[in-house]
Amino acid sequence: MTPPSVLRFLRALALVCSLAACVPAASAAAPDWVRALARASLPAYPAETRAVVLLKEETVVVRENGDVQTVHRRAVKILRPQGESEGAVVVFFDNDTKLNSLKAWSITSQGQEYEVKEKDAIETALLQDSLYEDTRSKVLRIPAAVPGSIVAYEYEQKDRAAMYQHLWWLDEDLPVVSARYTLQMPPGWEYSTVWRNQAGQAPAQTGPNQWTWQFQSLPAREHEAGMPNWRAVASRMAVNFYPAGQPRGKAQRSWDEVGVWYAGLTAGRAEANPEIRAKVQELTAGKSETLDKVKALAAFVQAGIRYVAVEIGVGGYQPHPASSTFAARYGDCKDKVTLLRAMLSEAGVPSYYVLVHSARGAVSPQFPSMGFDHMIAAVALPQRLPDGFAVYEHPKLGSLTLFDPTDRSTPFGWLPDNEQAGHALLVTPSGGETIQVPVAPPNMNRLLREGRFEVQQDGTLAGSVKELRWGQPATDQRQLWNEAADAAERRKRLESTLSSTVGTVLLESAVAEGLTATDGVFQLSYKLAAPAYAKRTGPLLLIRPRVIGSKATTLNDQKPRKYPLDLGSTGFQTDVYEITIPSGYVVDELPPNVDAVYPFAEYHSKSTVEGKVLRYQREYQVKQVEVPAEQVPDLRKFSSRILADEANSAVLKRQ
Amino acid sequence: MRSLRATLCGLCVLLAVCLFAAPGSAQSWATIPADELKLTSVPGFPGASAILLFRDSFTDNVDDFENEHFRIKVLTDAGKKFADVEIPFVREALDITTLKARTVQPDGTAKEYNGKIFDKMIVKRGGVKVQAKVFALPDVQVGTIIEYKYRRRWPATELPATRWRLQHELFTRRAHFSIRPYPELSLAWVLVRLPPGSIPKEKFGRLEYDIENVASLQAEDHMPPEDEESMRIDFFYRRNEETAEKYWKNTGKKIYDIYEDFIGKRKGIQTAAARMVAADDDPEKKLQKIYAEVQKLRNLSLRREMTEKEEAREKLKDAQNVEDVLKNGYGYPRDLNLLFVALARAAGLEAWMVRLVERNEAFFHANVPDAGQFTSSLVGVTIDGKPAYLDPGYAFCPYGLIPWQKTDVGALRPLRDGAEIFQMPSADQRASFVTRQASLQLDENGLLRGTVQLTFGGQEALRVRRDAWFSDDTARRKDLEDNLKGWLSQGATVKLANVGNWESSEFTLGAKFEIEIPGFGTATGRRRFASLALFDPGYARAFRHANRIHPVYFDSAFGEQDDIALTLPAGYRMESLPQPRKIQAPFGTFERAYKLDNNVLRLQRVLTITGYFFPVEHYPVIQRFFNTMKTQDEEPVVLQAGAN
Repeated sequence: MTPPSVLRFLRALALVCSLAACVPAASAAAPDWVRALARASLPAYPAETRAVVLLKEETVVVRENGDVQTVHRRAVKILRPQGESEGAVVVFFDNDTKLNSLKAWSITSQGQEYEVKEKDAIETALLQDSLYEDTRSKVLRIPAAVPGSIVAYEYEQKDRAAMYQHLWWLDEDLPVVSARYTLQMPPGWEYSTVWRNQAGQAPAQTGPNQWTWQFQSLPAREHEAGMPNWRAVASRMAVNFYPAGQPRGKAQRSWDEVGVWYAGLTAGRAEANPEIRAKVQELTAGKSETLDKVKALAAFVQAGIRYVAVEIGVGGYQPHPASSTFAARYGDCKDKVTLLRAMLSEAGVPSYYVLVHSARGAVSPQFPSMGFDHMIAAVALPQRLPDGFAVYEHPKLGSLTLFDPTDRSTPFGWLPDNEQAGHALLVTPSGGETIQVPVAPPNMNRLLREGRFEVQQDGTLAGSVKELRWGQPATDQRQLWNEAADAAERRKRLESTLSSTVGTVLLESAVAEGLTATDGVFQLSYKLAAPAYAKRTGPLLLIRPRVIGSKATTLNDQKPRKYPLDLGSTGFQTDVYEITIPSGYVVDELPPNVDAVYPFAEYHSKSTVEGKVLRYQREYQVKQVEVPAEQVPDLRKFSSRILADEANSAVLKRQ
Repeated sequence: MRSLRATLCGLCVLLAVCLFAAPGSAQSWATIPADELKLTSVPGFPGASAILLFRDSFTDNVDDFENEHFRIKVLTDAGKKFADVEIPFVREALDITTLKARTVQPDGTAKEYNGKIFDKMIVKRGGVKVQAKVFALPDVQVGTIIEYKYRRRWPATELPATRWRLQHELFTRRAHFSIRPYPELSLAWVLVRLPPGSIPKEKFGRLEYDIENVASLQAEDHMPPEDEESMRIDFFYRRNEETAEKYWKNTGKKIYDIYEDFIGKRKGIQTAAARMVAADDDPEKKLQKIYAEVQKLRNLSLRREMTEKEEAREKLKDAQNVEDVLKNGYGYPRDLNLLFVALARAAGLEAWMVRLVERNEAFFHANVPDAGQFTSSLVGVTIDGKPAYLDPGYAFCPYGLIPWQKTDVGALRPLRDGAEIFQMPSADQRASFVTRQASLQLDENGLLRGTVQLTFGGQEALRVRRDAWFSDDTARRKDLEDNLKGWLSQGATVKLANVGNWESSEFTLGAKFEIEIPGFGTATGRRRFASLALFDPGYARAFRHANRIHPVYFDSAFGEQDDIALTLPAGYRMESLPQPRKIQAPFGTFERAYKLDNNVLRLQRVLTITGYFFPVEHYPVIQRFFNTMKTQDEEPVVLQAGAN
């Protein structure tokens, strides 16, 4: 977007807003159900509670012809200004999930009532990340959404006809007074339920083939630093409904059923055309090993196909045909996997769709559902890759190498850290099944940093550093460097990183090697000077031997922990620094060595002196990607030992 | 006027057709020069992701459209994102009438884009739709040239202001801007941050401007308003070659008449003023009393954002004059300032309105005849024969303080026969300060605990109070705690014990905290090292980069004072104390001294910055000042375990 365009765009937005302000006031009348909620008394909540959900209700009506309509109701009492955001209703819809009605109300603490309707809403597609998709949203602002007010809304929406499963999300980051879910089905239909993070409950029959589930007083979902994604901890029920006796259909009673549904949706999409065949020939020419061929094809789709998401219909689940992605040289994750599968097939290598969620823990093997937001590929190589690589051993399909062609910095045989350790749906010709995505062992994610420095008489630390990275540390650094606008920005990023641990830094030079070849080592070499690094106090000179890098996981609270803590990825990092001390000084005291070993991580550091050289070496190993809640107190102790070690200094005394 | 304009348009049709076939046209593609096909990097900017090879922007104020043409070359993978194009438009208001795009590969092979162009809904309300034309150019690789052009049209009833922003988010190799002016008015322009001697040239009834090798605008910490740092040309129309001087004179007269009409001489104001002040009050006392009374009225600038239905129900009354403002009991800042002027005059004092620019958004450009530059107001008064300025319409602003964004800015005093354009006085560091007094104990395990009395003064108190206005007590307390925690080292816990009056216009706001810092300093076998400079607002970090593009720009001159007393643990003795330090610079000073009295160690630390704007060539000195300050702050006290 060019700057003048932005100006005009903003003017246009201002015009829309000013027009919005001209809409005349309508008569206001809250319905009885909202008034009844407003009259009810509430228990006391902690001072931080910004709002309370008085009622969340979904009423799902399945018609004889299979059409499904849902009425959503929600009422919230706002307790604090931080709860005023509850006064915005956002409803997503597309051509398959049309909105039949939308209304909202508020009742203030003085008893004033307001009503707004669908015509008062603005419609926007700005909440999406893709270049284009047919999903839009209606955003309706509820008047008087201030502390003391009750805000409520009701809307009716057609469900997506492609699937007969409903997710009912129970808890929220607000306390919920009452949650109710009603399913009304025509005669001859049945339902089944699955629960996650919540004990299942039998429904009450509230009508002919009508069932109601109800919960009271659900506590607010707590937020804890470093906790798993909310999808991993949120309580919910999946309701599947289907005509009695239907073995497989639009419901998602099992992973097999989800797999079959998805296989049907993607049927015929991963087929090569003559242009794709020619490209496969070109890319694999002269390569006799299957692995080399696969790597060439994977690299092409990874780097040669630009990520662009154009999502239309079926909720954005269906990929474009491989031929159109190849012609455009762009596509989203499922388009890339589809093209890769078509190319691999041409090379005689079987492969499969693997649906994942980018948030670890979002998918549970006990909870079949289309709750995915990303796709990767499983490639059946004739020979298994060595241990440590992202390989899943399938009892029938053999060794499946998992690969994400959307991630431009992660090479074939590896997976980005957020995709590891979760569960995924492997879509096979016969259906689908969940698999556990493997976790890379620590030694696959290596960082080796070596620095040689000299402390000058004025306290300046000067020297050079070489960093070697493999696996996730290499991926992270490549992304950082490749996303920078130019060399000046890369330099600024490095300056920022270094200054956070060495203070003022003068970066003399910085050279990166292995930026584009994703399957090699990433090497960063730089020379720096840090003025006044050594602190002089009286006859003493203090030198902090841990020059660069910070390993500690910072947790600022001491509260008892409910959830595990996500450490991101495993890893094995080594820092070795040799610091030549200035003449005229001798080492009087060294920082104590540290050996901290826990089930989730280890840290060892050691300082020694040989002649005029102060040598500091440390190793930091993360063995698990998640620390169980009961071990988080140990993590706090572990981190405080690391922080203390990182802050410690060697004491030099003038001779 | 429109009929004459239509005639002129008709006469120009033939000429227009010829002109529009030029490079700015949406009809054809020009041949791409060989050097652009071969180019692989941006000179001076190694590693750049893409380059804007050529831009042609043509604005037609006769036929009401603009043509934009962009030619971008992808230089790295990251630059491929420029092949995803999004052009906002409003149907029938700012419509895109022509859109063409193509890719050109390094070997010169060109491919016209024939794919789908989507109309993406940005926002729709009632009958108004803001949309964007979106498309993704296919087969874009490193080395590909992306080219697209479009025409945007607006209704013939509008003559929109034109601003040429000459900096793109990419380095621009070559750009051509032109405008065909509306002939019945005189077109003038103002150049901002352009190379010396560089001006638009007239050619065939157009104004044209060519520029080469323009770097993109990059944001930095503590930089002036972005608009003032970007290269641009602002166009405006004026009648009869009116000079800026004459424009301001006429504008001043008009504003004066409007204000005086609003103020008038009203009995209700006379009565109110007589009630507010005593006849024997001196002028300053009278002003203070009136100021306090005006600030008691509801300030509508602090009204929360409402929906249209709430607005309609609230039924705020319009004020036709200052008496209405007083009767209503509420007003917007300008209304309140006008009321203050009226009351001050009724109390026998000289007072007048001032229009001004707020320098957090923009600077004043006297040569731009646009009264829209003045977005704010305050009040001028005469005390002891000298002018002074007050801002009663700015909620929570203490008497005598001018909000920093209204200091040292261009201002206009409307006069009966014209205008006085002048510069508002600047404020010194006494108008913006923070003091921190701490009383702490250190135990033998390195746990530091005690109390901190924090005082925000002047601008700082004003900022904190205004930031807190829409928060409740719980959030205000947390914000204050987080603010202090942000200055302390990792792992510190902070609990607010008490705080002063949030909703007043007092010059200071105080808050007392209890803090704990585990593992304070570092310990070896025999010694503990620690600096008592506990509070680090992060100045050195803001200036960590070796290179700087923009001037350094603080809100205002400011000061900080720390007074920290630490009771040492039993069994420790002082081995070494850092020497007193002082840094003196043309723009400020830093002083720091330690003192040991029995077993109480005391640090006194004072930072004073006397200016707020520093040209980029002064950056090394600024950087050195703050880095040296940080280094001196980090000098540790050395405690040794053993007998006292």
